[in-house]
Amino acid sequence: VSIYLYSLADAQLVAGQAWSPGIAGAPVRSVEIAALALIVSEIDRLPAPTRRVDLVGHNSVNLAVLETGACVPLRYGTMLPTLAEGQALIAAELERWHRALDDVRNRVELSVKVIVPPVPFQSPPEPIPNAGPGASYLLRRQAEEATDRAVAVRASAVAERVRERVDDLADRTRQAIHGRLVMVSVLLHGEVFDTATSRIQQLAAESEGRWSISPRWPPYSFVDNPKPAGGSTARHTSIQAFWPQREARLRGRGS
Amino acid sequence: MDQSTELDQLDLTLLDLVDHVLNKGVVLMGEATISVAGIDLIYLGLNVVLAAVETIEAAIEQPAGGPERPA
Repeated sequence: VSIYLYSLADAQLVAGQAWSPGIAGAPVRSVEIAALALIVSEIDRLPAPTRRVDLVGHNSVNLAVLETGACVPLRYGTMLPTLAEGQALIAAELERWHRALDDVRNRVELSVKVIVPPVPFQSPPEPIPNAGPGASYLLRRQAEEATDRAVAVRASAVAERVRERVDDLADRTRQAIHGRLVMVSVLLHGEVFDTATSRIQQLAAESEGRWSISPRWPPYSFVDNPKPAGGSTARHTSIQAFWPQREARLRGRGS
Repeated sequence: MDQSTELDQLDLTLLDLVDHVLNKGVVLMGEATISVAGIDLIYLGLNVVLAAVETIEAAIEQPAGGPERPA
């Protein structure tokens, strides 16, 4: 049996919490470490292959933690051989974990994803008379790059409009753009979440493209990974790694 | 617009889930302590990601009426 870790919480806030089953239906409990609480389950092994229900199960526990007022979510798949090792890891840097928890206290994340409309492909100019195939190739590449730049400008403008719309409500924002896919994450106080959502919905109604506005997320995008002494920082796998084919398609231009 | 180039709303929701739960959040880092059955957590994480991609891609590519999507 190994220990599966969901998140860090405020021990006082989660005391007496009745937890629903977690990943793989395992019971969930909190383990106190110097006023912090590590939210864990005991499971034999991580379900494989990973299914949507597993990701939802991980997030459901963290949503319950979020409702208590503070959640530092851990990434899906965080497991340790023993609980003692988890406690030792947290205890080794208590001050920083307390800071991390305070940083997101009463905060939630709003996620906005937009697929901006395609940009018409910019036809290459007429081939130069008597030029070889290389010239035609370069002209076509030039047109493709011009189209990509136009897509990037359009996507950046959409991201900027999203950020502007909630600027006075947001503690922090982060964005990522992959071709026509725009992803903006907003960290804000839970009390203004509905206001921010209404504003983004209004912006979506005024705008082109396909919009997706999330419910409350635990602040996954705003918990920075520790930098171990003498080691490298944790690697963030790019979203392209998850969605290579979709990424390629989203780089596609309008016909 | 060519519909094959578009992500539908279900895709976006699933993308949001994958993006947050698998791509973000704290990764506990330690020395020799972060391992399960001798496999480094990052390596384990990569396996998780690969399994997720296969499952998700396969589910999305299923035609209507085909095998069910992941729950």
